[in-house]
Amino acid sequence: MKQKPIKGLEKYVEQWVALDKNKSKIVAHGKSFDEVYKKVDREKVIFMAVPPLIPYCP
Amino acid sequence: MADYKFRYFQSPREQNGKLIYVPIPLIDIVVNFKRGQMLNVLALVDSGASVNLFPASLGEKLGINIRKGKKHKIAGIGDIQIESFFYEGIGIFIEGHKIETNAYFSYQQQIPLLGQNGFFDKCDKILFNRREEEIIITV
Repeated sequence: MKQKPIKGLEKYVEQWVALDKNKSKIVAHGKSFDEVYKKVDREKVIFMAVPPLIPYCP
Repeated sequence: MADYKFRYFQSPREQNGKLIYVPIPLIDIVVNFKRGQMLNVLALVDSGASVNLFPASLGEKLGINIRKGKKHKIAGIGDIQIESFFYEGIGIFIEGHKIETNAYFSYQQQIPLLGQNGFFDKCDKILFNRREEEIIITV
């Protein structure tokens, strides 16, 4: 089964978000990792740096 | 040996003014430094990356004094070089299975990358199944 897209993730490109453990919703967001880290219970989330909306070749 | 299966992550992308979702091999790992705090992050399994490269902000929360690490330049696309700092003693956990490894940390990198030296070489096998949108990591 393929992963379902997370609704609204496109609003946070090139920012950080914290997702719930099922990777189904955004729990918190911010411009930096530190900002998101302060907003959440770190044991209950997965941190993610959202890639840009344009093709990404790291 | 054990197999760990991950689904490709649906990453938003703009194409011809429309929002689409592109599957990318972004997997959830837990990372720590020398038995310190553990953080759950999404990292890109990047066969084109030579090394593990993590954002410095993540390293700081793991208790690493980033700028005290050995300084290196890392080249990327467009021949842009970024400054990074090397550390041993990094733990990467795949569904609880620990990989003892190393990583480079940079203030110029946002998305954690799992590369050839430090990740691929520590795994027995990594299978990318793009059609089924799944990655199987054997460790």
